[in-house]
Amino acid sequence: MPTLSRCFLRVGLLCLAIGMVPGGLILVQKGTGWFPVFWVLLPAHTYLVLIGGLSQCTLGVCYWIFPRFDGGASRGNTTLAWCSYITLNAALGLVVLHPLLQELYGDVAAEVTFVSAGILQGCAALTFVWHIWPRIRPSATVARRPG
Amino acid sequence: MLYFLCGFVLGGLLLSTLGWKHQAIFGVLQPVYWHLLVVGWLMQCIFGVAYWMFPPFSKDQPQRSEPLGWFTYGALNLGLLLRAVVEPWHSLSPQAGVGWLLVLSAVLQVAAVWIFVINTWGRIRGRRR
Repeated sequence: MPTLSRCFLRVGLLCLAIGMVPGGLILVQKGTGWFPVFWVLLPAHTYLVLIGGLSQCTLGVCYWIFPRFDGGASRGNTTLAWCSYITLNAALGLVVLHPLLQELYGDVAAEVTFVSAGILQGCAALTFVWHIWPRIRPSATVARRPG
Repeated sequence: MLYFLCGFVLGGLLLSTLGWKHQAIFGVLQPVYWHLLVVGWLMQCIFGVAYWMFPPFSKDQPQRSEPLGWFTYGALNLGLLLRAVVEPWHSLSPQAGVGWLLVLSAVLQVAAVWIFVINTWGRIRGRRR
């Protein structure tokens, strides 16, 4: 398994594990009526599970499994894929830190944080698609079958 | 795939009854819809493929711990099915005992994911030389 896939998968699994906790707390709140404050965790739960967890696990496996070039020696432009990993996790970090930044620096800082996270997340998607698109093709073994 | 089918059918029903969204029943089904798809379908497909395809943990224990794998499967599905039944019921007609089933659902689902992560972590590795 290549290094970048291991990075995506480890962070993805960590985000899943962490993201399930606020979701569980919200469900406990629904069942018991205690601690309505848990609902502030809903955006963190959604983002950590969907973007941090499931998406990164999917990207990690795609980077690992999709057809390669040059007889399996190359995965193409890996710099793009690394950019995707870095920008996606930077966006994730900003979203997670958003409540603290809002508390310390006010609403303007919070808005800048969200805008930055949005741009970084968009860049992550663009760079990964740019990397993986040429790899969406028949694998070499399929191409060599007599027709 | 069963969750995919049920989730999409439920979503279709919710969409087609969008004009009736003032009815309480449709509002309480929204979280069920999302969790059937995200947890029941997407997450479970990812877990299944990871369990199957990730590099073996060792020659003797390729999937590391099969009992933990089965625990993940059982706890995730039991927790999700409990939620699918109890959450709308409790929202429409809250009762003291029923709410605690949601607590059980939460514990089962969180435990399932944590056990999966622990059981899978050692399989995220490069090629052994």
